[in-house]
This record gives sequence, C-alpha cells and structure tokens, in this order.
Amino acid sequence: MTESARAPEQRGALDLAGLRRRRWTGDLAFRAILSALTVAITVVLGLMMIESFISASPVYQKFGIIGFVTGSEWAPSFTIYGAWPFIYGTLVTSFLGLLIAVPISVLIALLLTDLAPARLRGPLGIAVDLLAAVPSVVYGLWGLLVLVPAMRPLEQGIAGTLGRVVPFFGPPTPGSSYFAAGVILAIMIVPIVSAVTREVFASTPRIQREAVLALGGTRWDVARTVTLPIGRAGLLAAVVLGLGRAIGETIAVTLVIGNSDNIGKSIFSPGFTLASVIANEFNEATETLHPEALIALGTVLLVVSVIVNAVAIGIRNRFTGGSRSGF
Amino acid sequence: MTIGIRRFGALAVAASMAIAACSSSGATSSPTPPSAAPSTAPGATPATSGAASSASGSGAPVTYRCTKGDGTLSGAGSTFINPLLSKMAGDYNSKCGVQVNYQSVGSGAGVKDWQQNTVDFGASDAYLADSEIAAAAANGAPVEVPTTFGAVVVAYNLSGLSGTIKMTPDIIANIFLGKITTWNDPALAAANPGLNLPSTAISVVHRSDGSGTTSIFTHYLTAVSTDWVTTVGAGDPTKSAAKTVTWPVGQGASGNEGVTQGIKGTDGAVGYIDVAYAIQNQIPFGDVQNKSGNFITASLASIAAAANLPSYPVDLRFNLTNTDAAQGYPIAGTTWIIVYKDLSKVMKSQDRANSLVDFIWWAIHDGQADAAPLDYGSLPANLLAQDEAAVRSINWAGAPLLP
Amino acid sequence: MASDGAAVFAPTGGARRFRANLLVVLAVVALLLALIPLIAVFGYVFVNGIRSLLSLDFLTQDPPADLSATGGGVRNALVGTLEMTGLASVIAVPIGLGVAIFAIEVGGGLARAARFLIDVLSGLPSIVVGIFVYATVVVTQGHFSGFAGSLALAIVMLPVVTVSAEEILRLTPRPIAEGARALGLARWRAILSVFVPIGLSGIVTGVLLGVSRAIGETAPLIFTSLGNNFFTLDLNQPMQALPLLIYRNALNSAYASARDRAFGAALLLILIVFGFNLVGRWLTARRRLAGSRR
Repeated sequence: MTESARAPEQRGALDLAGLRRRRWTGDLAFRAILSALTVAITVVLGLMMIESFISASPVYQKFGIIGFVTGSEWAPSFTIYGAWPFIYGTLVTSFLGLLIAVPISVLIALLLTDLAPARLRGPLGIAVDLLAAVPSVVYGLWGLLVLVPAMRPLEQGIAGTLGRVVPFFGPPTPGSSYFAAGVILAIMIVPIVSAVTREVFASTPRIQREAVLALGGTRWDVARTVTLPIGRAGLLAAVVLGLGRAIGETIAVTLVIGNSDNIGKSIFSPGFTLASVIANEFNEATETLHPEALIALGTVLLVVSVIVNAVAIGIRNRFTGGSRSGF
Repeated sequence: MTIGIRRFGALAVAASMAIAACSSSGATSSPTPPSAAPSTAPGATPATSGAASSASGSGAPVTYRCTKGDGTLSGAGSTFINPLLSKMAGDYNSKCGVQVNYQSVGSGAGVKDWQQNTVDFGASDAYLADSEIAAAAANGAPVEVPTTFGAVVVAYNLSGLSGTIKMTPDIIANIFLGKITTWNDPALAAANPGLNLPSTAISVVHRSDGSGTTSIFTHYLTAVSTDWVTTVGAGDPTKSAAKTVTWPVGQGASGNEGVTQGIKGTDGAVGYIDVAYAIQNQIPFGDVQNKSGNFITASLASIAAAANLPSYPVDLRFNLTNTDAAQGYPIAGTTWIIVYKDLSKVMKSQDRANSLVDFIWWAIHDGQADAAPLDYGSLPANLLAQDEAAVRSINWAGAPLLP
Repeated sequence: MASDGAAVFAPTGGARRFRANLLVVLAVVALLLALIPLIAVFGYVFVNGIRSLLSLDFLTQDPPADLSATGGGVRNALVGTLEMTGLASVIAVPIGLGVAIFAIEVGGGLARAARFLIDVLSGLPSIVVGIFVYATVVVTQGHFSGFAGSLALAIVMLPVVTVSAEEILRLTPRPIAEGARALGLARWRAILSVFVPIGLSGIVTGVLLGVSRAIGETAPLIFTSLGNNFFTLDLNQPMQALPLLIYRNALNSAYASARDRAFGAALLLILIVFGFNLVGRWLTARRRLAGSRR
C-alpha cells in the first residue's frame, strides 16, 4: 500500500492538466466521503465502548477492577458482584467448543481441498456453510429440546467411569451444563473455522502439492508436508475467529448451559457464560448496581474480544504479510 | 396546540366529559361516561357496550368509552399475563379500533420501560418497590391496577408414582434449600402416607431469567420459611423474595419451557412453573398445604379463593402468598398494570391519555371475560371497586380523564 | 475415491498408504459429525414447522390475539424482519464498503482504528449492541421502534460486510489496478468502475452473509424493536420480527398452537437464511469461475 501515501497528482505525469485537476477534485471528494464515513463509524463505535465503561464504572469503583474480575460470588440481592464464575464458564465452554470443533474443521477443510473428489467439494462445502446459516435461537431450541436429552447417556457414562477418578468429569449430570454449551458452540463454530481454514488450505501452492504427489507421496504426505505447515498461521486465525464467535454467542448458550451463578465443579455442572448471564438477567435487573454490573460484564467481554482480535490481527498480518510478498 | 387542547380539556371536564371528549379531537369516537349510572348516551353510539361487566358485582350496567388517540398504545412487562393481555388487546381492537401492543419482555423490563417512559404502560407480577417509584419520580407518581391473578405450582417428574404428592410449606422450602434430597425423605413420607415414594434423588430446576414467576415463588418461601430468609436472604426478607436470587441448589433454565424441559428430562426433578402452563401441558404438580392446614390443588377456584381478601390496601400493593383463605391456594399472585398518575407529563396528547385510560377501564371490566378461559382469575367485586377508584385517579395535569 | 491422488509409479509403503487412507476416513467421519447436527436441526424444525408453513394463511395473516387459538400466521413478523433487515442493509452496506475501501486505498491510523473497532465489534455479543441502542435511541426517542431495531441490526451486520468487502477488494488483481491508473482514470473512478464491479459478486456475497447474520438475530431486537402483535409498516412503531416471535412463543407459551407457530416461523426463517446463503454461494462460485477463466 505504499502508493496510497503518494498524493494523487504525483501519479500519471503524462495526463493533461485539466484532466488532472478534475481527477484531483473527484479524488478529494471521494476521499472526503470515505473519511467522513470512517470517522463517523469510528466515533460511534468508540463512544459505544466508552459509554459502556462509564455505565459500568460504579461497579469497578466499588469492587475494584481486580476484585470484580476475580470475585467468585454473584449475589444481586446482596449487591455482591464478581465476574469470575462467568469468565470461568466462558473459558470452559469456549475451550471445549474449540477442542471439538477445530480437529473436525481441519479434517473437513482437508477433505474439501485435498481429499474429496472435485465434484463433491462444492455441494459438501455448501452443506457445511449452511450450518452457519441456522439462527442461534433455533440452535438453542433444538439444543434444549433434542440435544440435551440425547446426550444424557453419554454424560452419565463419562461421569460414571472417568468421573470417579477425575472430579472435573464427575456426576451429577443434570443435562444442561458447560458440556452441553460446549457441544452447541462446537456445532456453531465448525462452519466458521472450516470455511476460513478451507480458504487458507486452498491458497497453498498447488505446484508444491502436486510435486509431493509426483514424488510418490500420499495425500497424507501432502497434508503433512505442504497444506498443514503452510496453512498453519491461517489456521490459527480461523481458530481465533471461531473463539470470538464462541465467546460472544448468547441465546443458544443461554438455553442449554443451565444458568447457575455458582462455579460448577464438574464439566457436567450448570453454569453461566458472560454473554448468557447478561442476556438472562438484564431484563429483570432491578437490584442495586445490578444493571451496572451486567454492563461491567459486557466491558469484560469487550476487553476479551479486543485481546482475541488483537491476536487474530497479529496472526493475520504475519500470514498475509508473507503471502503479499508475492505481489 | 398542545396547550390549547390541554386547557380546553380542563375546562371541558368541568362542564361535561362527554362533550370534551367529542370536541377535543375528531379521533374520539362515541364517548360515553364510564360511570356506574345507566348509559344515557344517544342511540348513535355504536361502540358503547350495553352489557354489564361480568366482573362487576354492582349489577349496574358498566359502559366504556373508546377514545382512539392515534390508534396505538404500547405496553411491556410480565410474561405471565401475556396470553391474557394479548387476548384482551385483540378484543379491544375489534371493539374500539385501538391497537394495544403488549410485549412479554419480563416484569422487571416492563417496569424499567415504564420508568424510562418508552412504553405507555408496564405490567408486573410484583408491585413497585419504593425504590422503583423513587427512580421514576421525575415523571410523577404511579397508579398500580391489579388486573388478574395466577398461581405458581411445584411440578415434578417421578416415574412409577401414581397419585399426587402433598407438600407442606416446610417440604417445599427444604427441597429448594437443598435439605431434602430424596423423594422418600421422612418429611415427604409423613405428608404422603398413601404414596409409595421411591428413593430417587431430587434434582431442582429453577427459573434463571429473573421473572414474576420466581418473584411469586420466592415471596411464598419467604412467607413460610424462616430458614429460607436466614440462609438465602441472610435474614432480610426483601432479599429472599426477589426476581433474581442466588439459589443454593439446582440448575437454572429459561422460561416455563426451559424449566419444563429440565423437569421432563430428569427422573426425580422438581421445579416451579405457572399454573396455566402446567394445566395446558398436563404436567403433574403437588397439592400445597395452606395456612389453614388444607392441602389445596391449584385451580381457578382455589386461586380466586386466595385472592378474595376482606380488604385491600389503598395503594393496591399487596401479596397473595399464604393468605388466610381456608380453600385458597397459597402460592398465588397478582399482575399489575402500571401507569403514571398525571399523564400530561409523559404523553404527547390528552387524546392518547384518554385512549390509555379507556383501555385500562375496559380491561378491568369487560376484559375480565377473557380471564377464565385462559386459566386466569378475574377480579372480585371489592377489588374492582378499588381498581375503578385507582383508574379514576389518573389525570391530565390535575384534571381527571374519567368522570 | 481412494485412487485419484495416489502415486502411480513410486512404491508406497503399506504404513504410509494406511495413514493416507486413515486420514480420508477420519475426514469423512469429521464431515459426517458436522452434517449430523445440520440434518438433525433442519429435520427437527421441518417436522415441527412444516404443518404451519403449508398454509398460505401463515404468510398472509397475523397471529391471533388469543395465543391458545390455532390458525393465523406470522405476516407481521415476516414483514417486520424484511423491512428492518432491509433498512439495516441500507445503513450498513455503504458504511462497510466505504470503510473497506478507505482501509485499502487510504490506510493510515484512522483506517486502522476503524478496522480495529469493527473487528472488536464482531466479537461483541449482539445483546450488548441492543442495550447500547436502547440507551441512546429508544430512551431518547421515548418509544421502541423498527428504526431502532434496524440500527441495532446494522451494527451487527457491519463487521461481516466490512471484513468480506475488504478481503475481496484486496484480491483484485494488481495489474488491473495499475492498468486503470495508467489509463489516467481518477482513483475514485478506478475504484468505482473497476475495483467494485470486479469484486461485485464477492461484495454481494459479503452483504448476503451479513444479511443472513442479522436476519436471525434475536438479542439486539429485544431492547430496540420490542415486537408488535399487530401488522405495521411504520418504522416509528414497535415492530415484530421472526426471531422475536420464535424466542417468545417457543420458550414461554403454554399453548401448543403458539409453539407450532413458532416452529413454523423458525422453518420460514431458516429457509430465508438458507436462500440468502445459497444465492451468496452461487455468486461466489460464479466469481471463482470468472476468475479462473481470466
């Protein structure tokens, strides 16, 4: 983008002066409109975020930033607000969601770039993408009415075997839980992660892939030596994108996570995520500082989102920076 | 313009309400004073109901007025009253041509919307706390109009059980405090001598979206259990009777449907849901022992009995949990329609204010006919009289909107 | 399927071939694992919703006031959803496109700040957007409105539109850009008459993805458009939307008729979103074809 730094009239030295002037005013107007739009949206979004922090400030003043973030008790009737149970829930469910979704997404992306017959790739890709088109309220309803009851035997099986040794997988298994939320999140982020991963894999040099095959390599060798190493940075970006979606997902998680203010000892315990507690309690937040505390949770999410995005941008820059050198 | 109407309205009220309503705006259709006196309106008043309200005990024909305003009114709040208010709104629209858009956003959100004046009226399953009234003080004092009654039942899922479980207040409190953990607990066995209760573990499901249902239920627990007050509320009844409480046991679920799914999915589960929901969906629920010692099944009759108090407070802020009625179901509650007393501060025109008052007046009279078919309790005569007085107190800069 | 990529003449060890085949098997299993929920969700909503949707009344009538009554439709919600999503697109698309062009063509600190905020926005729960619009627009105006709902949806759409437009514009072949300038085209001319048309189908895809994201959103509408039991085209009035109707009727209604209507609405919503996505995919496919022919 170095040419963008140049003033418009410096380019095209062969142009007539009049044409140059017209071009110049046109460019100026165009640039002015774009700048105005960009400034406007920056200001609106910036204000939105600043406004959230101002609304939340009484809570931060009362509990302190550290105190609020690490406080493990949430009792609105006693004006006690600690965000940790929800941060914990967000971490556990997002991690579980990624743990399930990433391997599946990578395999799907490999399947659709290297492994599947070319004719099938398009339709299968569309099918996976359609997963992203289901509205989250519909996922939530299905999760509540179908998935949670269907997963109960699995949960009981794990809790009855592994759970005897590791308390993190221990009973009871009421159904709605971190686990159920993680599974729903996995379903919801597979299309996102696999779509981005697919794009990345598809952009790995075809020549290298064909070279491996020509040298007698199998498709496993192609994946191992070309697609995965070259696509690694892009894959990370895809994972971060999926993480962003998982952290912010609201309605579907609210319907299956069991909505408890306490930190669940087991992955099968009910809990809350940051987004779902806001959705669940904001409507009826009438206790002292309760709305402010929920908005403070929103600011925590905002900060988490900033961090996740900064990481994503860093990875993307490194990744696109590498590939851009081809220009 | 606004001032003109306002001043004119005030003058006109002093002279004759009917004329005022006619002449202040062309949008007012066929006004008839909603007084208890027989209608003396001319024959050309198609919107005037000749029928006496079934809910009114006075026997005198009660009429209503249809001020059209701008044709729309908006309200928000209680999820519990939603089926009834929606039905009322539909009926009122076909009678008066005013679209009353009611949205079930939850009682707390309804109160918040009312406080911030983003809706014309709020509806809440809990009466306004003093702090909530204070928060809206800039817009003036509220008028709270009890509109219907409902009940919350303790529903359960226990396989292999025939018959209905009887529950004492202590049993209910201890289940939700996590002190009774199995269905064959001695306390349950003692209350249900005829039943063969299994040793299944109890798993508790509660509403997690702060709701009027939770408010009624925790009010009940607060009224019957000092243990509940001392543990959950740390000794403060106002903290143990809330829409959002920190439950010592169990999982939370959103909405009646969420709780029902939680109950259906687990053998041994127990939770609280609205009576209309339980009846419509044939979900088993327990008989609850009331103050007089009788075990009562939640029904229209037992809710009506619980709601029939000898007298009601002047500000109409009252609870129906654990009342003295011998045949009353003890976990009952009221839904209030909430508006500002002086509508001139919050509404754009007196015409709209008239339109709002007319709807509320209709809702507590003719609208009550919609209650019973939807499993809601209708207003008893002595409460209706107080409701009427409350609605009449709604005014426009001091001038009454109803005669 | 197992033979199309295998080396013809190089000897392949049994272990390596096994690994290669294992990879294929694993990948197919992964695909099935991903498709099971899709089929299950769609099948579930289809079975529960198709009966409502089969009647034409479902599209042309409003829900009955009596939630326990059968019949009626979701006209108010369908029209509200289309109107609000439409206005949201009218707001979000020019802004998103403008910021994307600005970020690519001008760059600098301002562009980075805008892009960063938009990226952050994409990770923010949409309910927070709804709360913000409530505090700034609804309370100021003094009433809920379809307009406020549109605004919230526009903010939700914005990141999707911006990010995809930027990606597409970035992909515009460099020689074409340089050729346009060499011909003496003004920069804005070049952008509007060369870049945007080349990337048009890609941009449309991004817009459609944004629309399908916004059209299924419940959370930002709860505090903004509120919902309306009556039919209205007036954006100044509270307005109903399909996700709102689903959320309220499926979760808290005692009546089977209202839940049936909610599932019908869910099926309708899925079909609309699928439709938008398929159109988007089709346009992408055409773009790719056109690109590979170049």
